[in-house]
Amino acid sequence: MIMRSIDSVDTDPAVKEFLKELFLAEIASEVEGASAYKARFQKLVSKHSANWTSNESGQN
Amino acid sequence: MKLESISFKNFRQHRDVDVDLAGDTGLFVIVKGNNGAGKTNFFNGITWCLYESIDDSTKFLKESLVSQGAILGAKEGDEIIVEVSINMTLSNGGSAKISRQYFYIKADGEPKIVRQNFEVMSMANFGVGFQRIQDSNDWIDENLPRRFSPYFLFDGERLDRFFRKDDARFIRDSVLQIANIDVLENMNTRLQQVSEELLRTAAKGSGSKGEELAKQNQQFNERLEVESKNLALKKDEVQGLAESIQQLSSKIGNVAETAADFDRRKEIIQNLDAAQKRLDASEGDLSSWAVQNAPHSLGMDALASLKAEIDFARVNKVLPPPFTSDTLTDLLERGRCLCERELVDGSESCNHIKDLLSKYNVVSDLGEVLSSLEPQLLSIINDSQSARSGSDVILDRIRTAKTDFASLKKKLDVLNAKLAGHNDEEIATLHQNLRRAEESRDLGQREIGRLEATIESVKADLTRNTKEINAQSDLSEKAAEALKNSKFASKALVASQKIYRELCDQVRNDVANSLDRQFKDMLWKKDFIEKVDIDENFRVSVINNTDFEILDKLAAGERTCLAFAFSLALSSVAGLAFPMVVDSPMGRLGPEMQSNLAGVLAEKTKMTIEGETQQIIMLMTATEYTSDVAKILATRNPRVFNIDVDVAKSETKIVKELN
Repeated sequence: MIMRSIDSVDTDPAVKEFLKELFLAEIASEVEGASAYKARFQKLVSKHSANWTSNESGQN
Repeated sequence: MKLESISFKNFRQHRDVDVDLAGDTGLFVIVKGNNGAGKTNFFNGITWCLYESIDDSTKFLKESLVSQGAILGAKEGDEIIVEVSINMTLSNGGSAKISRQYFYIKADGEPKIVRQNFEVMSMANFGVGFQRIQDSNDWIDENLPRRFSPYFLFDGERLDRFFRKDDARFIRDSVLQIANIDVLENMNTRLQQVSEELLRTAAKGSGSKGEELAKQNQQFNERLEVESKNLALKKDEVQGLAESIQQLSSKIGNVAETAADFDRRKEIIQNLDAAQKRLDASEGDLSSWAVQNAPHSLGMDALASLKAEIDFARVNKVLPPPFTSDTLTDLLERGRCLCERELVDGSESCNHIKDLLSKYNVVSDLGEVLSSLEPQLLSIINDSQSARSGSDVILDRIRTAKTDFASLKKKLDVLNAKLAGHNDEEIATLHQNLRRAEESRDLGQREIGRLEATIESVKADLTRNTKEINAQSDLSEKAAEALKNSKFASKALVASQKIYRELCDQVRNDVANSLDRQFKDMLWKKDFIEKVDIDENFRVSVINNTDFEILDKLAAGERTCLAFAFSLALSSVAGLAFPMVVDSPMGRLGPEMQSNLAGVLAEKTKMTIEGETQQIIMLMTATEYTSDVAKILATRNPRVFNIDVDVAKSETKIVKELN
């Protein structure tokens, strides 16, 4: 249900991909430690932000 | 999910009881028995086993659980084990055995608890044998969330918990949790934090001005967090006060109406006193009248009779005119009759005239006396009639006063019955509490306004601060990357918050629509409910067809239906076929309502959730499970158990009835 909602939300494709991965990471966070999760979270932000085009960035 | 069997060992009067609920008919179970037979302890045994809760509370005297028979049967120093075990099948096809034990030692004749154990064994549907679960409480929370339990394991006579506003948020949280929407909420919180951290990292990468901006950003965010928490607390407080106001009002039905009833009662008592005084005064008048007029009155009938005789004599000419006394005397003296024939002394004619004359004299004397009496007689009669009409007036007054008195007394009795248990002091205290609560609420609302204004101001500061950070031109490469990441995280946050809001609304609407549909379907009087709704905090409201909120005014049977409808709606939306165990579902209902509700239970509670039929177990007294109710429920082919208590042993037996 949540994945479908992310797919249909009106935002940039890079943001959608990021939210999907983040959501899965959030669910997985129940079985991993807080620091490992935080590192993963920030890596995800950097990774998807890097794929975020300047054009999309400009829309912000 | 289905409870397959339950066993009790030394649990209150259930000393050694095994109940096999399973079978084809195990989805609709009735356990019936008289008051005191052990139904509520059957119910408590289930809640104790699953949640260590008795009578909806985790605070209970642990020693109170031990069967009296077990205590009496044990020797000093013996161990007594109290245990309830539940076997159940799970929605995923697996099975679980849940058991809780308290261990006691008998000392000085009393059980002393020494340790306890809670264990869950589960087996997956592909069946590799039962495995002990590491954290049994976590397992329970995942499979049979405690937050849901009051809505599936409940006492039909204590449904207040169902619609208590304070508890609504737990339902909201649970539903969101089951739909994984709470994950989004956590995600959003972290996204916000990361976005802010990245923004500050970016700011710090542009010299001392940037450091200052980062510091301000931190301060604004901290202040925003503090004020937002204060706002949430204040809103909760105001909500609590609003509910207190509602409770205060509903506690006495309607404070204003009751207070008015008290005023009415005072007025009636005053009127009653006045009526009593009028009655007393009239009775006094009657006594005086009797003293003054009784002789008249007593003689009046005799006088009236005499007067009637005189009138009769006159009308019927009993007296002998036209022959006067002188005429008759003249005839005798002249010795001649009226026809001029001779009257011989001693003749029949002469004797007749003499006889007439003697009677005439007597009658005439009497007539004269009576004639002389007549004016006095008329006067006395008039006086007596006047006196009698005076007494009629007094009697009328007495009758009116008595009618008033009876009518006022009736009104007073009605009011007394209505106001039984209330008193002026209580009303005054309630008024006072109500006024205080209203003042506090108004104060809280003003505080909310102030906090909202503060938050808006801090948000504006934060926006300005963010713009300033974004406008820094001398960012290092690292700071520029942090800024880009921050913008990205911020954009993701906006999208994620939108998704969260939409999903919350969707889930809430699903629960509301399901509840509305279920409740309307259950009601036997269909036309008075317009809508059953749930607000964003999952508070239930029932709107009637004149647009009034009537949740608190529903009849007991309707409220029970709403409770069942709510449970079924939650099950449906959460996709959780939580077994329902209901103690005394019809305890407060009259025969007609019982039949109506039995019809609902038989026809409207066959809920299938993701292919699973919801199990319903009802604990009923003989006054609930009447022959009419039994006939109606029989259409669902229930599995019926009879619970009986051996008074001598203080032990129960639970026996399945033959279908």
